[in-house]
Amino acid sequence: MEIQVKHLLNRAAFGTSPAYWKVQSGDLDQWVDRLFRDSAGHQPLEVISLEDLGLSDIRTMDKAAIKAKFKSMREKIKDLNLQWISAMHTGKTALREKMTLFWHDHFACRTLNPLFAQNLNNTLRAHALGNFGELLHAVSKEPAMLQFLNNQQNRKSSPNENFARELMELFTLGRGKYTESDIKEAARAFTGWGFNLQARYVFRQRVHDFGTKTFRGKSGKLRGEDIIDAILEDAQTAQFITAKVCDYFTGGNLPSAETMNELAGKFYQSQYDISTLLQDIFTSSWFYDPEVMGNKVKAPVDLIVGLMHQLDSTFQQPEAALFVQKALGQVLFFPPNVGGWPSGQAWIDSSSLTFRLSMAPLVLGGQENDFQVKKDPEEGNRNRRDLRFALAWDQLTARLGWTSNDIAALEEYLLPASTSKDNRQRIMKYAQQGKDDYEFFRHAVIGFASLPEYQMC
Amino acid sequence: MKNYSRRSFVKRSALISSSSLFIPNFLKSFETFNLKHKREQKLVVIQLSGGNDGLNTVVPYENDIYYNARPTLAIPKSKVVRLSDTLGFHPALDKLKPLFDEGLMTVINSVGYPNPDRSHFRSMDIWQTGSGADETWETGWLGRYLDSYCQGCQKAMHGIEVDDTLSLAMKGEQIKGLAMKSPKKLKKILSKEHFKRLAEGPQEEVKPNLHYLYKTLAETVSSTDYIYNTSQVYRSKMDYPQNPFARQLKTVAELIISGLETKVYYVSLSGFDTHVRQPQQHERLLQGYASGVRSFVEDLKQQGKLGEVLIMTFSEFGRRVKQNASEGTDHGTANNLFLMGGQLKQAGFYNQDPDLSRLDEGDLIHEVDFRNVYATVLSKWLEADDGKVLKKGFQQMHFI
Repeated sequence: MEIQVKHLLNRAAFGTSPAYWKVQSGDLDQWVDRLFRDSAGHQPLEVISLEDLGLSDIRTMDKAAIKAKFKSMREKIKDLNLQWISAMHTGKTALREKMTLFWHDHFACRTLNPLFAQNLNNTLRAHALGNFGELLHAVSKEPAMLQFLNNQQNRKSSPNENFARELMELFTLGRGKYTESDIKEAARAFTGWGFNLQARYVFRQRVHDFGTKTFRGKSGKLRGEDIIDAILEDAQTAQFITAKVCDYFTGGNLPSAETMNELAGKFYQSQYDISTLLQDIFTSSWFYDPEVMGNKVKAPVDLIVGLMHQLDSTFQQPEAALFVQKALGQVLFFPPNVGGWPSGQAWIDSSSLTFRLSMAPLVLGGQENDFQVKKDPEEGNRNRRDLRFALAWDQLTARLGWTSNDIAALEEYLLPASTSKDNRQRIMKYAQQGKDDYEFFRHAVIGFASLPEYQMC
Repeated sequence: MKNYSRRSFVKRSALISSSSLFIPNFLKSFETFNLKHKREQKLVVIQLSGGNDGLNTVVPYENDIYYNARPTLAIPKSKVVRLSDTLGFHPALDKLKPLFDEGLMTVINSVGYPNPDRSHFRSMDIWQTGSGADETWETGWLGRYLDSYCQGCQKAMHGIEVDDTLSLAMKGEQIKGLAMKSPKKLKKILSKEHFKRLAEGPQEEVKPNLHYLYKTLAETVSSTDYIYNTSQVYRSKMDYPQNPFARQLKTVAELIISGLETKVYYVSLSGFDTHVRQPQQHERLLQGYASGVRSFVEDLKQQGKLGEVLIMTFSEFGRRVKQNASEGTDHGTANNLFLMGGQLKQAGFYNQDPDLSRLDEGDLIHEVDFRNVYATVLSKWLEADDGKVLKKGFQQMHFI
């Protein structure tokens, strides 16, 4: 496989997979098309319905019932996490899931209500490759967001600026590109935006401020929708989103300011068509510059999902996927704060790196895990000794068309770029200790997946 | 773009750290380093996770509001371990009484921050980063201290968290602390051939971020070697209680007494989120806390090291004054904070009792911003530029 194609798959999907590996033909443009084509449809997450949630009679529940309810809600959020991991690793709509993950970080939100979390996530997925304006309007009306950024408390009598501020600072314009007065006026326009127990957006007229507001030079009886439209009219929003998307896909190796301006200009002209922006990035030559390729530290979710994806396997105990997320510092649906996860080198400290480099024998060999994660006051997360994948090595080798002792092919398949001769020799030696071809293969996979190189994409 | 060869890897690492890596005279470099940093002060931070109920920890036993708000949870006056005319310890903290009496402990009441957040994760982030409630920072206050302290020195080992994972508090911009359950456990993992070979650095030209991974690993391995070797100097003979928290403190004591250069240690004790059936749970936790800390302080004292150590205990928030309907308490705001050590200037109670007559939505109003405590610890104890570490000036206090 050409290194550029591998790079595209690493960044725009979850890496190589047996299915992709078989497709040896096709130029880069065809691969880009394939990714978009594969992601044309989408499958929402479905772990809970309004009836299942059953919060409508919470006022009449006794303490024990409420406690049980909260416990089941926490369990449902875990189910969401695992269902999403599964959607990512099967990789049928890889690009869409990758972008959903991007928006999950961009519109970072925490909620204890699994239905809210599910709805927001499905909104992100539905618009992931669509129109950013529509996405922004939709997210702004999601109960998860309204709740997380306190808009339920945003009333005419006492405006709460939290949503208005983050909308501009983190979601659209960027820090320093708005005034305090913009925030005050926007907050007024969003008064009355709330949600009900049916997990639906409601406009509560009684607490909405119908007065005249002046926002970025525009005066009138502005409503929340008008504020969002005004923000979208500002090309700065296109600049900001373009920069963030580029940063995500290039791992911080941004192209020149001129190129960025061009990209942002086209994105703005397309009226915020996300696919246009992505296609422009994936078909640019700078995206395949040597300094861009292989220089991004995999986020924990990319690492775990990538391994599942490449080996076409899952954890024997599905909850092990939760443990590993926690151990590596990225638990889906639990971003650290509204700013999302710090990325790049921030993923790496002595402890997370040691665990990353020790993980393969736990997952692919028989070793027991004795690394422990911190207790979360509300989660009661469990440490796990068994992190094994359910692996059928014979099927995998067959699907990859792997022939015995071909360590170079495996290296090419697993790593973004080749490793040193020294590392390769050590892995070869370890592989040769295997009793048969499958064990040779397994040892070699463990060897490559234990390298710092495997942490990169 | 620059690629880094192995040779430049070693050279660069040598530039970054005053000692070069993986070298036999590794320890020697610390001696030179010592000359610049003669003072031996060490900080041990104990985090009580989940929101410790401060009012049942240091009990206002003469306060009717307290007894009325907590008909079944209040600690009866007769059981309180009296410290002043109005305040006393929960009986499970009786092991701390001698420390308090000897002037080895300062209690600061009503510590918190403006616009308190009652979510565990948010409030813990605020305490760990040292930010205001309206800001989200990506680095920890102790990590930024390490950044400022450690320019040009061996990195990770100046901040140690006794756990498998590293808290945000210990992550700086440039430097992150080292997390380990025990020197032995980490040494065992990193002694594997796999790690030893990787720590020699990449053998060929590699991209900058991959280089960073190799470098971090090399530093982890050499720090672990140093910590493990040094930790062999002193094996504690003190009788510590048999629980994981006490074991963590024992590890810290052994490292300090062995003469490790580490400036900051971080340990946590969790389970303080006592919404239901608080009495048994809280008693057990406080008992474990007090007995562990007592042994730790005795150990340091016997070895003549208590003067070099400041221990700070905090929790992300206190709890609601009024008890709830499930024999528990809900998330609150301001709380007491403990300092212990051999060099306290103002031992005993630092400030007035918490004011239970003036509450904000049922919660205590903070009187001391926790960043005043941090600023004081940073500047007067660790001799750091507190304004730089906290990104803002905070008034100094007088406990050290």
